[in-house]
Amino acid sequence: MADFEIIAEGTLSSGASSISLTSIPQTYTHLEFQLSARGSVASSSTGSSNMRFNGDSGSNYGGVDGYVTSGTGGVEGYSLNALTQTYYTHPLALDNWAANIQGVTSWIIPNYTSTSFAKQLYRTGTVADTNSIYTLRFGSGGWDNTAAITQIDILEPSAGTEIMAQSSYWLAGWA
Amino acid sequence: MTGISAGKTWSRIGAEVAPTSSDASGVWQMQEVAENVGAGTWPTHVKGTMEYIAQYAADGTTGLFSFTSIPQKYRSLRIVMSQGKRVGSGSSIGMWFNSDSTSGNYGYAKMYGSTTNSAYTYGRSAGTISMGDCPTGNAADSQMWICDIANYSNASVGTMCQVWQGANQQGGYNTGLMGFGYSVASAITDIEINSAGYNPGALYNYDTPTLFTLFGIGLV
Repeated sequence: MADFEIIAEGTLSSGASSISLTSIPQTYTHLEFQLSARGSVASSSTGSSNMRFNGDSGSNYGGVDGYVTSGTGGVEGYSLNALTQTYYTHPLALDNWAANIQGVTSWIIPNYTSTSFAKQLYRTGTVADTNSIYTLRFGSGGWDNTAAITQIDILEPSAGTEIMAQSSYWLAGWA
Repeated sequence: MTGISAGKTWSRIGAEVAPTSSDASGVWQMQEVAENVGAGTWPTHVKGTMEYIAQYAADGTTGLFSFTSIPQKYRSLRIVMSQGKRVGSGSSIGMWFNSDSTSGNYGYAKMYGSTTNSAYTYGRSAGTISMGDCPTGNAADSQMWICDIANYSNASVGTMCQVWQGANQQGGYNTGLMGFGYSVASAITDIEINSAGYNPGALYNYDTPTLFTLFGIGLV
């Protein structure tokens, strides 16, 4: 077994409402996931999309972020209870921003095969459009479920929008 | 030779199944591998991993390192500066892509802490990645950073990067996170690491045992 091995990777040739990574092998110790993406939303605020595990759309997620957005810093938490907040935000460049820029986010998901403990993760993400919007986030998150993670879904930035073409991702396993 | 052929459910050294386009499980003898490779039935898909590309070791005589002709077969790049030290004083650690020093093509946001102080800044400039400068003097002091450069080989889009950095400098500890974007749609083929921050060239030299190591991740 390699120490670090790509499990899945790809580049979107056209816009997609989601990226689903299924049948994740249970042969690694930790997962690392990186997404470089742009969302088809027009907004002056940083975009984000949602992450779910094993197709679970229940109110089983929570997290907290530290962030800087164009010189303003702060901390914000995410509810465990609201279905619409069953996500861990990550920055996306948006469709009306400077051309060519994508947001990039990296996740570390340790001990993902455990069936004894709820899952924790660590994330950093950033987007700087070289024009007016500069965002950096770091945060932790939790999935209140003891199931092994076999599927990761990245969902559309908001209803009816897409993760745009040329967005790229890779999922790797650490021994 | 009897028994030396591919796709058997048995062999002298273990069970076999026919190879697929992505897998060849079981135990294979060299002849059998060669037979399948020749027949075009050996799996051609190779899983990506993290692969060493190149490394520079500083020796105190230069403050500028360039990774050139970067292979375009990977999905992301990762640069690690380990045990970073400098000779003399200077400016920040800078990073430029494809010899482009046009400040309007780069943007950054960073947050950092130094001893008990914290700050966050943002702006447009040629890429500078330092939240705190490399230390000098005390033998035990050094800085490290990791920079991920995502989707670098995609010529249709710009490039976004993340940096994680930390240093111990004679009690003046510092750490930080940073993102910076390069808005020119182009594949990254050259990366320059200097010691003049926003400016070209070198204002100090990197000292031993500083290492700059470039890795490729995944396969496009």
